[in-house]
Order: sequence, then structure tokens, then C-alpha cells
Amino acid sequence: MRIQEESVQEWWCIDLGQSELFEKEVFDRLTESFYRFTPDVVQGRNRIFLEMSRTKHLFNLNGFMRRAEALARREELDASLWRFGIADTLPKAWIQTRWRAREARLLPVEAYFDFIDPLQHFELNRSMRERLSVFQSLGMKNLEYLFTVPKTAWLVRFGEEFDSFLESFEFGARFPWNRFVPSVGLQEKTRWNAEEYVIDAESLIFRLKPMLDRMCERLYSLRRALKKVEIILKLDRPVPDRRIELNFAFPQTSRSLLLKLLRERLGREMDRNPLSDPIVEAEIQVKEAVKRDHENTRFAFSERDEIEGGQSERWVELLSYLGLKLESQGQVFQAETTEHLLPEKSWKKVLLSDAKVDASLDSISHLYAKRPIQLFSEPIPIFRVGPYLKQNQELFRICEFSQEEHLEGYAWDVEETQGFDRTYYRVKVKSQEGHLQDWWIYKDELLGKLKLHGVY
Amino acid sequence: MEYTELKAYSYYSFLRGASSPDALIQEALHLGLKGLALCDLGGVYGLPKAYHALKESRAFNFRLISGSEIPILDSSSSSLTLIAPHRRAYGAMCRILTKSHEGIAKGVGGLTRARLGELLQSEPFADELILFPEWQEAWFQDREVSSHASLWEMLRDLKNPRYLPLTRTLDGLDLERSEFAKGLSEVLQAPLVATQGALFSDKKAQILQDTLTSIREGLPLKDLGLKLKRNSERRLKRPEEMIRLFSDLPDAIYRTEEVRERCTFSLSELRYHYPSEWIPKPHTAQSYLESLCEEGMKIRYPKGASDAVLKQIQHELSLIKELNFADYFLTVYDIVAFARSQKILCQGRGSAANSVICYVLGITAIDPVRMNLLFERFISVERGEPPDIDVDFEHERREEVIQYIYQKYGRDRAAMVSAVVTYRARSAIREVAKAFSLPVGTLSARKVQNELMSSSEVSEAKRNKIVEVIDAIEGFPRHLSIHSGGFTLSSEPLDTIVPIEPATMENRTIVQWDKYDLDILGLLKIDVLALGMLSAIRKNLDLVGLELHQVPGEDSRTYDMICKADTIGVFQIESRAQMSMLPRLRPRTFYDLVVEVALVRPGPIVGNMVHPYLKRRRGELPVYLPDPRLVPILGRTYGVPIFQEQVMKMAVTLAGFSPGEADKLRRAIGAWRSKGSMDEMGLKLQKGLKVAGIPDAFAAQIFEQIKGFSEYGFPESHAASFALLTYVSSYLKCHYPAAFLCSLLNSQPMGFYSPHSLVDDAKRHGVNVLPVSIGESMWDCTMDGVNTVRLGLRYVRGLRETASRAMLDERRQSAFVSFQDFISRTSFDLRSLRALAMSGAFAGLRLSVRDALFQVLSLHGGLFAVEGAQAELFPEVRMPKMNFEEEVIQDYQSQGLSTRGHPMKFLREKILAIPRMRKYASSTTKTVKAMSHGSLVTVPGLSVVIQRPPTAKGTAFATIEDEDGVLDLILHREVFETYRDVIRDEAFFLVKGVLQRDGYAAQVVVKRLDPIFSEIEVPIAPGAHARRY
Repeated sequence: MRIQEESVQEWWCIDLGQSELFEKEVFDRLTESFYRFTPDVVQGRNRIFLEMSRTKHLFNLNGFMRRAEALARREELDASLWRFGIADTLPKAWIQTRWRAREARLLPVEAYFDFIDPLQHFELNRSMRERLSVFQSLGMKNLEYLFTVPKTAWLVRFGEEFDSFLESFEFGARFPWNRFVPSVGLQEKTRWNAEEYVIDAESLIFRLKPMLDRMCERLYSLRRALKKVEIILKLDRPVPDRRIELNFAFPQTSRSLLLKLLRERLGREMDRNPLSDPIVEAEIQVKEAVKRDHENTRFAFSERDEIEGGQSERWVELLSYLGLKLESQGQVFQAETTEHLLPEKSWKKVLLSDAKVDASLDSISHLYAKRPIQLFSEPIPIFRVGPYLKQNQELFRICEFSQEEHLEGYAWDVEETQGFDRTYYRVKVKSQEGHLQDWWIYKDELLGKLKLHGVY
Repeated sequence: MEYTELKAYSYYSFLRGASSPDALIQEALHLGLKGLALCDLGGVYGLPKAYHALKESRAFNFRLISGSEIPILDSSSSSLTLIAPHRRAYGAMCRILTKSHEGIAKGVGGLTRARLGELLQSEPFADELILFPEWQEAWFQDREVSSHASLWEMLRDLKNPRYLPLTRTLDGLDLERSEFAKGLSEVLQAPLVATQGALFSDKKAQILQDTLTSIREGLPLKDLGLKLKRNSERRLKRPEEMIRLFSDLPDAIYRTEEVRERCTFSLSELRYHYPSEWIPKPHTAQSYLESLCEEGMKIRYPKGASDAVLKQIQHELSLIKELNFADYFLTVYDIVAFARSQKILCQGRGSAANSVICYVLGITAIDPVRMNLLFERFISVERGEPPDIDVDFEHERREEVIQYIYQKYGRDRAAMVSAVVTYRARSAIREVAKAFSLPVGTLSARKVQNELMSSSEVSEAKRNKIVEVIDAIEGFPRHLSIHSGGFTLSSEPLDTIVPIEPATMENRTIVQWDKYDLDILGLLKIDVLALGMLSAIRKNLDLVGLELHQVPGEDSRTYDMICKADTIGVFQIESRAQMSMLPRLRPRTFYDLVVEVALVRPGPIVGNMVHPYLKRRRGELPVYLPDPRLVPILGRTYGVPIFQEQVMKMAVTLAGFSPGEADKLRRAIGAWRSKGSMDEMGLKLQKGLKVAGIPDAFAAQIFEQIKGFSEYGFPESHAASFALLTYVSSYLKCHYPAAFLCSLLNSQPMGFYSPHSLVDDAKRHGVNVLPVSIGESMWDCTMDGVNTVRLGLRYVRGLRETASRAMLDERRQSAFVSFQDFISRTSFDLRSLRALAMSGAFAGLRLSVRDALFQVLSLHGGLFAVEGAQAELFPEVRMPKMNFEEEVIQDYQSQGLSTRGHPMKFLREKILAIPRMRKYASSTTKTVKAMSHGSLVTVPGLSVVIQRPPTAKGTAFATIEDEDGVLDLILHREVFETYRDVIRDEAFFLVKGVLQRDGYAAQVVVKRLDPIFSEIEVPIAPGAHARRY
């Protein structure tokens, strides 16, 4: 149904010039930011339409462009790719943006689909391509040719679709387009009487739990995991609210784990800065939530984790704890085995924030002979003296040699491993004091020297 | 203590092994091993080459053991290695390998554990095969021997001797591995045997093995991690090293000797016979051959054979008897006789045409005695190799011959020979570049190479390494393919000699050996080849009501046409280079054609024979033959040795060679150029000629020329066989141009030219070509009167033959009167109907292409379908009319050719509209050809053929076409490189260059090429692109 509007509309179209779809959140934020120009904002596929007839006098085009560029920068987008078009109807604004043509009748037949769906049409699907090829075969090079055939002939064939085209092409489809409505942020709030006397972490946790559960449910339904949350506490006195921001190293999906973390951090916070008055109102605001891992389809612990004690979650908890303890994430890392020929490079530091949830599963460890736990970054020269190995003037009697392992550099790897040729042995030695040690030593086949590389 | 490596993989374990069988044998001998078992994955592909290498090295104490590893399908990464101790067990292994490939067209094949067990029990002598059950590295991680041992439970029921292979690869896990193996060995009752499972011969080849792993895994080398071997221990090792490695298990080393002692089989034991059960009793193969020769002589020589013929036949028969080849000749005769009985045109080619027996049996069509050909070029005692008979059949009917062979001899006794597809420079560059993490994407090998050489991101050391690997990997086998027509047959089941596996092509089976392998082992093969021109000639003869033997010889009109290089579509002399030679050589006799066919080949060109021959023929240089004995040998070619047979005859007549030695000389010539010096045979010839009194200068000149034979050239017999088809096709084109066109169009794809070029050429010869019509066209093109060809429905792209034939049946009942009538009486699907509409086939029903298309689209299920009765409510729709240009383009899109006109016709009008090009619009191939030598010319045209022969040192030869004819172009290397993209991407050029004229021959040496489409926007018609060679 078409609504006749008395006033003349002016649609500005901004095409973001990208074929891949934007992440919805980014695109929503960007779209929302265009509210500063007009409340009539319509979101399309990587394109935004602004109905500017009522507000255009507030902006000149240059100013608008500069501000749009600033909005793009905020979202780390490249505004130089953006294209603009202005027309009195939304479809025409899109046509103007995409085809840069004033005379619609001379547009290539492909524009037929732009008229039908100015919001979403971007590239031709198979059936569209087929249709287009047929149009071209029939000698219809541009839209004008479509009208060499009686409209009824097309209407009877394409029905509603051709009607939409005509509506858009001839009348500009002046119906009310779906305006963009920004989503509301996630927050939970609760109040209680001062008599209830909530002043320490334990009692606060008790109050927060239902809110936390609800929030987790909402996050779950949105397929999000909690990354950053702010707890705002109002006290029973006109003092500034106490704001506590919790930033989780790993996005959280587990209510029980979240509660544990909350308990620990709130406890510390309260210990450091005790409350002067009871809390009468608490609000939880989600500041950041990230996309949830697809595999983690269950919100709470999986059954296995529940039964086995949530090994992986506890690993994460441990890492988080270490991170807090050391107050620097860079110092907490997980050593992961990698498939590298050089022993000194066969493991890598995985920082706390990037670490796998479950580090206990090491799929490649069986490919290696048992390696020492302690590996020296600089192998220590040793010498063989009869039945002894001499290290730093100290003699160690060789008790047992085993586990011969020959590692040769790759001939193709001219930059890193070429020229590397070592034979490793696991050697049990006894110090002069009688202490047994388990060494990992190697013989450099090129230099003929022995070195101690690690201790089991 | 001695050591034999019992598991080595050559590069025929595709993308696994990294050394050739030859390299493995050489290294094994060098290291002092006592033997080597080649156990390629899924086959015995590398065995003949290893056998040959061993034979060449004359190491009689070394034992090459035949084995193969069969993957187990129901256990990932598990396999069973079979070792053949003797001939019968080898046969069983081949049969099991054949079974392991059944139903698996690609890859290494495999069997389930149960099926393998069953075969080891049921196949005769399979229980004598030595078994090596393989076990996975991961097994010993959990140390649960019993659970893994159960996987080999099938061994319990087998009587086969078995050993458990144990490798020591110094990966730090050897002790654990050995402990596990000891346990497993006890459970399986298979004593441990030492092996390195050699994947390559020596340390240097490890880089290749890594690269192959990268190609196999589809990952760059740097991302392969521990998929790569961490050291080079999987190579062949000295016995002392192996003894040190297995010092705790000396028995494992002793057992390698035990296995070696058991394995006595050698490939030299392979003997086989051609099937002969069909030979009528009481004939032997030889006597039957003799009787067939007698009968054949009556047909070939109705007036009686000359003494020379009789003498030659006797000579050949005695040689065939001595070498026991009668079966082979009879088999070929049988196949040819079948083809004849089915009226399938066929003709022997190659050196077989040197044999008068092949001639009288009807295998070849050239009388070698009359042509003075040399039998020893075909068979000689000294060569010790089987003869090779190649027979061409009509390409559209070759399948009937192949199926006849399968049917008559059975798939167990007949299989096609394989061809090993190897890494060429281009594929090697791309694959190796990918392995080294260079950005390859969709770039061509040339661009990748340029990138590699110029990129500042690649260090010099890395670049050198990459180039080194590319060079090394070139020639590595990639996969097996099917030989173009080679068949091998046997009186016993073939799969006891070599495993047979299905080819990718349906209904084809191939043996695991290629033709070189068959040569090594002395096995015979027949080439059943397909030749498009034979199909065309057969069709043409049928159309004009002639038989091949009725084609008049030495027709002067035909030679006139040939001399003018008016030979588009003619066999052999239609190529760009041949056409430019024709006006210079001006053939007037059949032998001139033989020379023409042979002259434009790399051999004579490189040997600098062309110009001396032409000049002497034209009388511009004197013909000098210092010895009268040279007259019958070199006289016909004006003293220039164009054919290898001539050199052989010189050697026999003047230098005292035996015919067999002369053949050896022919083979030796091939290596002269690469070695840079002559070998023993060459020196003998030199000396012989000197003794015979041949002047040094003449001999030196002859030697220079015959060095060209190291490049590809035709033997005289082959050239004569081909020249016969050249003459016949020329005669038919000259006297029956319409029928000739019709036959060529019905035999496509074949030849140098696209159908549109053939049609345009025929039109220039006054032939009328009518478009496709649903009322007139048959499936094939047809004659519509003496000088008119009607295009057949086969030219409508996307049209199905079965539905078309049904439509033709319906049309025979009554003609179609309207579109609705056509739709209601035929069963075409929408796709076919659309193709028909686009071809303009409904013009007879007064429907233009677009109107017909609209009608088709409006049918039920079509894009414009109108359901129910609504359509009748609306008036008939008429679409915009096409102009000439649109019609031609539409024809090309729909059929790849146009009967309406040449695209250059409308393009010329467009050129007129461009100020920069306007002056060239009137320039045509005809006006250019009329200009004088050295003129600067500019001419637009459609590129139809581009050739860049490897021997032309980078020069390319192209042909452009317009509505007036064709024009030859020469593009020197620099010009070609400059305009490479234009040549590759564009169909229409504006050519600027200098006209060169030599008699009738005119060609343009190109200086500049401009794409016309850069100025004019016209959709490129598919099918209008040049054919590239």
C-alpha cells in the first residue's frame, strides 16, 4: 500500500563500499550514530539511508561528509570507500549511489533488481543471473527495452515482482520503510530496604545472584559471552555511587564460575575499600559481550564438566587467578607444544588472553620422545672425560645412555634450521656427591661438541 | 655380516618416495648392499626401471626383490607388504594388486583385511608370498600389544612366511618402538626383520621428500611440523650402519639375508605369448602368417609380385620366424581385419610401413618395395626389441575396435598401456613455489617464476634452493594416465605379469607399466590410435560414392591447389608452417608430398636441410653426389638426407654396416647433439665413408645434417603413410569442396582449424552453407545439393542427441507447422529448446531468434512461464529485431560459427568510426597479400591459429582471418613477449608489420599488435578464439 505524502522527501544514501557483510554490532553502532543527522534512518545491506527533508537545512553536504568520516574512524572503517547518492525516493537514492545515472530508463537491465529491492540487493544470485542473461539474449540492453513489451506481458509473468519494480521505478516506492531502532543495552537493577543491611561482599553476592542469572540468560539468548561488566552500588547516603568494573580475561558463559569470580573480586574490593554505608540499590551493566564460541552450545558447565569437576573451567580460573595475582597478563602464559624441529622452538608462549580453554589435551606429545621439563635457553657446554661428563669443572659419572634422537635441519629452511645437526641422548649421571641426575645432552654433529640442553 | 634393504619406496609411490628406481639401485650398489626390495605403494610401477638399471650396471650378485605395499582399507595408515620370492608368487602378487585396485579409479588402491586374507588363501601360490605386516607408529604409545595384534588376526589362518619389519629412525622413540615390536612379533609369530623403509636414496634427496610431503598434504613446508621427517634416516644405509643401529637385535639383520636367499625371482623370467588360440588348425602362427601373406600378395599385386617383393617377403618372414614375432603380426592383422569387416577405415603408420608383410596383410597402405623403404628400420636382430606397429583408426569408431579387443581376448588378457604423467616445468614451478610459501594463487607458472626471480622478499639462498628443487622435481611422476592407444595382450592372464588397474576413463583398464617398461621387458604392444582425418575421409568418400582405391593418383588440379597453399582442412599440410612451405616446395608428385610432410619437422629444420633441399629442387644450387652409389639413396632428395632411412642405407651401402648396425647407428644419432660428439657408430660411419672414397667435405656436410635427427622427425615410411592421406584429403577438397566441408564438420573435433574457419574457407570456395533448421537439419551436417551444406543439429550447443534423433523421427512422419506443433510432438527439455531457439533453428516457422526464445521461456517451467490460461488473454509479444552484428555474435555463441558472414565484416564498419583506425578499415588479408615484398602493412583480423613450436627459439606463428581469407603472421620472440597478453586474451587484432614474400607465399613479420576491442565494445564471441598449439 502506498502512502501519499504531501511533503517532498529527500533520501541520502551512504553505501559503505564493501562486499562482505559488516559485523552486525559495528554496523548497528554506525547506523545508530547517524541519528545525529535525522531520526529517519533505514538500514540496508551495507548501506544506510537517511531521510533528510526535515533536517537537511542543519547540515551542508561537506560538513555531513566530514562528520560521517569521523564516525567511520570511530568504528575503524575506511570512509574513502563510501559512496553517496541523493534522490527524492529511497530506491532512486540507491540507484543514484550505485549506478550514478540520472536517466533511469538507460540503466542496464541489471538495475531491475536494484529497483525491486533497494535495501538488500547487492549481487546477482543464480536465478537473477539467468534472468539477466535471458533479458540480454532478448536484446534488452537497458531498462527502456523492458517497456517495448507491453507491461501486462511482464506482469502476467512476474506478478508481484514486476509490480514492485514498477512501483519503485515509476512511483519511487514512497511507502514507509522500516526505520532502524537501536537495541537497548543489557542492564539489571534491583532495590531493597536499608534495613536489610547489605554491606559486605557475601550479602551483596546473595543479592546479585538473581540479577546475574537473568543477565546470563539474556546473554545466552543473544549468543554472547560476558567480557566486561560494571556493578554500580548506591549507598544509603547521598554519596557518589561506587562503581566496580570487572574485566574478564576470558569471556564468561558459566554462571557458577562467574559467581566465583565475582565473589573473589568483590571480596578483595570490599577488603581494600570497605563500604561506609549499607547498599540500597545495585545495578549490573554489561559493558562488553563477545560472540560465544560455537562449540560451547550449553550455557552452564557441560554435564561432563559438572561430573568431572569442570577441569577446563578450573584451568581458566587458575590462569585468571594468576593473572590477577601477578597483575600483568604478559607474565602469565601457557607453554604449548608446537611441531617444530628445534627443541628450543618446540613450544611457544601462549599469553593468558589467547590460551586454550583446556591445556591438558596435547595432541602431539606422542610424536616426541620424552622431553625434559627444564630446558636451558643457552645449552651448556660439557665434555666427556672417560666415563664422566664434565660440566663447569664438576665431574658426573655416566650411568646410562638412552633415547638416541637425531635432529637434522631442513635443507629447504635456509633461514632457520639449515646447518642444524644434533644427536640427543638422555643420560643418567651421578654427581660426586652421589646425586642422580637425568640429563638431556646433545652432540653437535657439525662441530663435534657436547652440550647439556635440559634436565628431566 | 651382509644386509639387504627389504623395504624401499621409489618415486612411483606417488608423492611419497623421492628417488627414482634407478637412483635407488645405484645407491644400493654404491653402499654395498646385497639386495633391495622395491615395495612401492599399491603397485610394481618402478620395477622395470629398477631392473633395467641393475641390468645396465651388470651387478650380478645384487638381488632386486619384487614387492609391493597394499593399504588396508579398514584400518587407517595400516598396510601389508608382499614380497614375491619366485615367479609364481610374483603372479599371485600381481593378481592381488589388481584386485586391490578394482573399483578404485585413482590412487593406491587397497583391500579390507578380510578380503586380503581371503585372497592370500584363495589365489594360487599366494600362500608363498612373504608378508610384512605394517604397524602404526601410534600403536606403541599405549603399549597394548594384544589389542593391536588383534588387527592382524587374519595372519593366524595363513601359511605365509612373515616377518615384522622394524625401523630405527633415531627419533628418540626407537627403544620404545623396539619393545613394542618385540611383543607384537611374539604375538603374530613374525620374527623381527630390520629395514629402514627407505623413502629416498641418499641424504640429498630429503629436501625432495619434504617437498613431496608438502604437495601431498597441501600445506607449505613451514606448516608441516612433524609431518616431515626430523632427520634423513629414512634413506638407504651402509650395512655397517645398519648393524650398528640393530646391534641389540643382530637376528633382525641376519633375517634380511634369509629373505634375500628366499627371493630368487627376477623380471627376466617374465615370458609371455600373444594369444594364438584363434589360429586355424593345423596352422602354427608362422605357417598361418605365411599363408595370409600369400593371399595378401594376390590382392596387392594382382599382376604378380616382382622378384624384389618375393625376396623381401622371404627375408621378413625368416626374420619374424627367428625372432618369434608371428603371433604379434597375426594379432595386428586380426584387429585390422575386424576394422575392415566393420568398414572402419584404418591404416598403419610409423616404421611398420617399411614392412612388405604389413603391406600385404593390409595393415599399411604403402608398398615399401616400390618406395624403396628399409625393413631394418622396423625390425632388426641386433636391436633386440620388439617391433612397434601403430595403426590409425577412424577416431569416432576406434572405441569399437578397442571393445572388440577386450571382447575377443578378455580383460584379463588385454589391457591398455599406461602413460606416466610427470611434473613438467610449469607444474613443478607452481607446486614447489606453493611448498615454499610463495604467493601462487591463480598465477601462471611464468608469473610465479618472474615473481620468484624478482621478489626482494626472497633471499638469494632461498631462491637458489627453490630453483634447485624445481629442477630436481621436474620429471617426477605425478600419476598414471592412459596411453593414447597402446594395448598389450597375452595368451596367459595378463594380471600374472603386471597388475591391471582401472583408468579414469570408463571401461578402460591399464597395466601399471608404460611403453618404455614394456620395451625393457621385451613385451609387445600394439598402438590402436585414433585419427580424425580417417573419419573425415571415410565420410567424404561415402558422400561422393567413391572407395579409397578409386581416388585417382597424381591429379594435377589437386597439386595446383596444394601449390597455392589452399589447404585449410587438409591432413598434415594445413598447419601454418606447412602452408608457408607449400608454395616454395611446390609438390607435383606423391613423393614430393612425402618430402613436404617430413620436411617441416624439428629434425630437418634443426639439421639445416630445408633450404639446401629447396634451392637444389629449384635448381638454384647444383645437386652434387660424389659417388654413383649415392644416387639411389639420396637422388630423390637432391643429395640432402631428409630421412633416417637414407643414413642407414648409406651406412649399409658405403660403410659396410649390417642392416642391424645401421639401425643402431640411427638410434645413436639421437645422442650426438646432446653429447656434442659422435659415438663409436658415428666414427665407424665416418671411417666407412672415407674408405668408400666419399670426399671429406661432402661427408662433413652430411654429418652436420644428420645431427638434426636427434630432434623429432618422420621416418620415410611414416611420412609416406601420412602423405597418402594428405593426397586423398587434398583431392577430395579440390574436387568435392562441399562434401569435404561436410565431412570435416561431422568429424570435429580434429585438425588445426575451428569449424568457423573451415566454413569461411569453404564459402570462399563457393560452397553454400545453410544454417541450422528444425525443418531441414539432420543431426549431422548434410549435403543439400552438390554444392550446399546444411549445418546439422550437432552444432547447436547444449542440444542432446537422443532427443534430437527422436525429433527427426517425428519430422519424418510430417513436417512441423508451428511452434506449438513442434512442442507438442517433441520431447526436448527447456534447456535444449532454448539452445534451439538461440541457434535460429525456428526461422522456418517465421520465428526470429528472440521471438523463439521468448516462446520457449514462456513454456511451462520456463523463466517467463505463464500458468493456466492467462497467456491467451494477452496479445502475442514480438521482441526487438537483431541486426547483422547481433546475429553473427549470436551464431557464434550458439554454434561457434556463423553462416551469415564473418565477424570482421561488421567490425570493419566499427573501425571506420574510430578516427585513429579509420584508414585501416579497408585493409584486408587479400589486399595485403597483393602488396609487394617489404611493404609496411596494417590489417585487422580474427586470430584463428597460434603456434609456438619449441624448436623455433621463441618465435610464434599465427594466422589471422577475415571475410576475404587468411594471412600468416610471424612473431619474433621480442614481439611475442611484448604482446603476449594481447595474443592470449584477444580474438581480434590490428596487425602492423612488414610483408615478406617468397613466390606465392606471403606472410607478415609482425612489429606491433593492437587489440581492436580496446577501442570498440563488442562482446567477444565464444568459439572465435584461436586454437593454440
